[in-house]
Amino acid sequence: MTRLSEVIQLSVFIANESGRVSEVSKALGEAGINIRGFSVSDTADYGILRLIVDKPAEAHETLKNAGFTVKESGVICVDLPDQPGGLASVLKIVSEAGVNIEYVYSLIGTYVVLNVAHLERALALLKDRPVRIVTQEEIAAG
Amino acid sequence: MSGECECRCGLHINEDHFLAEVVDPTTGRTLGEGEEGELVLTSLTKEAFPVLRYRTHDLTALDRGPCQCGRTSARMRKVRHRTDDMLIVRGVNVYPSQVEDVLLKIEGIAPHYQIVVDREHGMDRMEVRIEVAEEIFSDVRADMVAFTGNVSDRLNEVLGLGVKVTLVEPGTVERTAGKTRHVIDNRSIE
Repeated sequence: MTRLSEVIQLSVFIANESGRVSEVSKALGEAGINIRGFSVSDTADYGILRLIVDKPAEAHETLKNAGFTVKESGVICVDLPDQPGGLASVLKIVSEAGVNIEYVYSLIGTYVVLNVAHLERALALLKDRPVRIVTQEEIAAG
Repeated sequence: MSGECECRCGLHINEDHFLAEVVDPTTGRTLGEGEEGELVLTSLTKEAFPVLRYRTHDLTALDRGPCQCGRTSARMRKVRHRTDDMLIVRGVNVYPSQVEDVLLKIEGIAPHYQIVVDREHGMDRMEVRIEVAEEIFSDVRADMVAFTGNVSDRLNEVLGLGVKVTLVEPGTVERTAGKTRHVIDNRSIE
């Protein structure tokens, strides 16, 4: 069940060979899926490619059919003030609210993705804070 | 039981102490000279623990012809294959089914895996490659590291061998006619 303010992130297991990320982006491109942001976390042996797309369900299906191992998880997306200190101010608010951030990466424009330890709790904690949480629809629309 | 002579053309069997036969591994029919089959041994002088037509699972062929070295005992061809899946890595007997059991016990599923054995600087090295199916994939890197660590530790417990565990993409492990090729042994037979 997707909460209103939850954004779906796709994680893809990538073998440590050249061209794998390119294969993923090619498959998505051909399926008409728009990547709004991504991050690659790698070890010596393999990588985990994380994607925020406009159509997560279709993207999941496309990649699964292309033979990739995909997992979905819920993340929080916030809109940063576009000025120096923008990121710092938002991260300060989030940590003061008691939210535990696992990792962060940026998306298109001023959007930033936060992967948090306990999503529901985090959303509840941020509800009345001066942070603009962005929905899946807004991300898709750009 | 047997050993090579200076001619290096097979292993002379110590026939004073062992009766060697070669049989068809499927039917058990005794095979003739030169035919490859499973080596079956009967001890002739062993006390307290005799073996009678003991199936060694080693594939070889016998040669009863004269040897240049002058010894008249039969020679057996160097064993290159076994009748079962067993490998010997650093002196330890390894059955691919043991790897499968470990994976099953950890995850409750048996993902496609492959055992790759190499020899580096004279030392045997065993690697187990596991295909990352959806059931074992986690977005949290720490979970993946814990998984490979867990598999490696359990294999070490079961086999008594240090094994490298690598994760690979689904479909990467070689399959022939739908059946996975479980073992790739890159060690050359000198």
